[in-house]
Amino acid sequence: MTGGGVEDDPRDRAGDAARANAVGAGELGFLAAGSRVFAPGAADSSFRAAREWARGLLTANGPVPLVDAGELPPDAMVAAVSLVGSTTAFGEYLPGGDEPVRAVRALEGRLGERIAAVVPLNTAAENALLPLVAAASLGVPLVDGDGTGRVFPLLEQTTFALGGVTPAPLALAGPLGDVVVVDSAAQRVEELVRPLVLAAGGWVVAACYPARAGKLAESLVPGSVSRLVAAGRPGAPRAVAAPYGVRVLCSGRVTAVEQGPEPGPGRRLPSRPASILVREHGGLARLIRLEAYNEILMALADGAVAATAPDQICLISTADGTVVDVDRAAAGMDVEVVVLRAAPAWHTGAGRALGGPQVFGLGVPG
Amino acid sequence: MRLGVDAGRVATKVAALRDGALVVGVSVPARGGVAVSLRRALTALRESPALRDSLHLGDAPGLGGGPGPRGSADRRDSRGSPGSPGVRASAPGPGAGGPYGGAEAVVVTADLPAGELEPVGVLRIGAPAHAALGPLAGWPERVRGASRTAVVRGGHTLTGFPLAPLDRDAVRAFAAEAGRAGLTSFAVTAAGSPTSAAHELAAAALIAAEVPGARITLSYEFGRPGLRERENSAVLNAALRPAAERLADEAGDVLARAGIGAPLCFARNAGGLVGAEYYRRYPVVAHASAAGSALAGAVRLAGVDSAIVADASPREVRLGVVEAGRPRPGPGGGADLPGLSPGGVPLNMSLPMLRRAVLPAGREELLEGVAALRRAAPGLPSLLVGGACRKAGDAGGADRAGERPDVAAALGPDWTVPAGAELAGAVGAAAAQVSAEVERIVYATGRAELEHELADARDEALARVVSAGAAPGSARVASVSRNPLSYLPDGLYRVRVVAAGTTG
Repeated sequence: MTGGGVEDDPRDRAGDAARANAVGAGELGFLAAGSRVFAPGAADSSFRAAREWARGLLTANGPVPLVDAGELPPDAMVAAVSLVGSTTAFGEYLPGGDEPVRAVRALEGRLGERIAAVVPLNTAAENALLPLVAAASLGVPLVDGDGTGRVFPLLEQTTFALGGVTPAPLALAGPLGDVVVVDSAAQRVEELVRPLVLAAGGWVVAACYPARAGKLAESLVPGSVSRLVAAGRPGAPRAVAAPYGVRVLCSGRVTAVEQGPEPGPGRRLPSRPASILVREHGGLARLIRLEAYNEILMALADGAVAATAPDQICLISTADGTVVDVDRAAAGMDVEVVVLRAAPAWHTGAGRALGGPQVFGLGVPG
Repeated sequence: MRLGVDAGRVATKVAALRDGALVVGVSVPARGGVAVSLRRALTALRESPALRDSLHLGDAPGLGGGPGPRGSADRRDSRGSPGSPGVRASAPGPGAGGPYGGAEAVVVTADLPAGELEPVGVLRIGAPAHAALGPLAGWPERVRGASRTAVVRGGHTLTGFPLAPLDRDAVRAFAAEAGRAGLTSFAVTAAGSPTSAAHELAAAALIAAEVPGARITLSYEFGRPGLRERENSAVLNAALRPAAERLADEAGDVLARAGIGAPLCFARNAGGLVGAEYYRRYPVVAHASAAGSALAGAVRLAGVDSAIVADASPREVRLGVVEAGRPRPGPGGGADLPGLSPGGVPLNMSLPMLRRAVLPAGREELLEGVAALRRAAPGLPSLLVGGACRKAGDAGGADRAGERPDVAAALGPDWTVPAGAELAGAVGAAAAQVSAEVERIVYATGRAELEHELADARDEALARVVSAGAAPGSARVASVSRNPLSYLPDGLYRVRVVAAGTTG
């Protein structure tokens, strides 16, 4: 990837890669690699644990069928599955293996009907693998799509929500045997769930956003799983994982990481803000300031806004091509600042209202 | 004078450094184990005219006629201090005759053979995990076969509260069963031990009572979150301990017979060294240390502090980056460090970032690796070192030079081969200083509490570096880092302290 321009549009090549219609142990490696092309927040230990868990299941149970939402009967019930909480905790308090089944069964109990398929809430790192684990454990297909097209810190920040599907009722299952069903208004979910997650061991599998397949088909970001399988194949260009476009904002060196103030009691976000300063190599030698809240939400180039959420901004290490965790960014690292255009649903008034920088308390200057 | 020993699979090399500069080195073919090779290498070194000249004439210009092929002298001017006046005085020291009497330290970099891994009693404290994530998942059968594992109730949350009381009866029952099976090496890993090691310590006491003489490794000593990696590191440490004890005994014996009274040390795989006593208890920190030693030695030989380094052994070429004298760490896991991780199981140490290629088939890979490192570390000089760094015809060496691919030709221009390049691993080992680290998770709800926790971690790192062989007066904190953990409550930090010191 070279600096400056927008990369080839992978949609032009969409027909080239034969679409996967199942994910087995063979595709798992590609999916795992593809899920990290643009994924921050993936501590190595948790990612390895999720991958080994999935490998164990796919080897024992065989491949998981991959279906388009439109291929399911329109009234089939589908639930989104996601890891919620800390990946550090996931790597330390390892899954017993029954968390996805316990979460989905509890949700089914609340709904009074069975789940016909599982859909990823997002497909970043572990979150590409856990829905696969859930589908393999339950013996149901995995829907080829997801509810964000990227990753956001808050449970309600999804295209499902933009399409009128609510996160609750939802069920959480943690590594210490706990199961909790939460049924509340969408804007209350985050506040209720975060302390429960901590009490349950720091992470849970959430089964959420129950919806009919017909409704789901209108609101999901399609094709995410098969796209990542394609993006993870050796030699695949990075842009395959960015269906709506990707550009390199700059190539430079991290010069400072500033921890923000302790969040006040009114904050809804799961952790502290941080600012990352990057000095551009060559060119205009611009100073890029990245404002982060678990994820990078805004990029300012010499004080002017160059990119904001809902587009995804990530740091890619020049050394090894991996995405640099906001937590681990440190002065001296050479990085590319890359911007991925968000799915079209995010570039609407409602989309920006749900996923834009003001949600995180960042005003847009100018 | 400091001696570095690079006990490789093909050759054992010894380098003598004075004031940080290479005085003389030798290479002998590796035969009959590390200790035997070490004895032969020391004999060869003692008989080398260059060492005699250096010790008895004390004048750097008298070093046997300049750089020559391996087996005679390779020299570099010791920057700023040619002909150190201390040399004569350092020759035969009191109570330790022979030419090494004045040696300050002997630093060994050695891989323990994978065949010498002992079976281990593996105890995990916490909730049972999916079978794919259980103790010893992914380990080769030669270790798994005779090992025993158990998962018992207990452990702590990341904020330090007990998940459950430790199931002491289950620990005793496991220890007794493992003891009956003849196991003496144990690895104990509790969920949450980077925050609280109380259950690991309690289990160790129970095991020690059941199995007299048990060697017990506790995972909190490798205290990074990520249970599987921490457990695997503890298991590998436990599996290496018997072989490490034998090596430390044998090498110590060789030194004693050679009249060398200097402390025996082992190079760490992430840079630095530890003393033999520490090595006996924590051999995993020194396992597969040759790669990092060669990187560190390359920059020292070239008189720079940062470089891209190609380390060419007869088996493969390893590429790495050194910055400010230290290898750039890799992404972690250890799978990229050859010989370190049995069966590729993930470990949790900060190891040098390496790219590897086997020539001649891997030339494309090699060049791609070089290009990637140059992108990652622009503007650094490129150094070529290692036993196979010179063309076959140039080296009158101990290796089977005729079969050797021409690494320099494969790399192309712009690579410097510093004098003494074949000895880079031994030089890097000799030049290392004592280092130790502490990593833990702390939960501190206020600034004062955090400062207290940081001070505690500093104290432990200083105590650890002294136990690793540093003279107490020399121990200092080299770095402290703390990072808040995402998606967890405020007040949870990952804290890492590195301490350093000198052996003298």
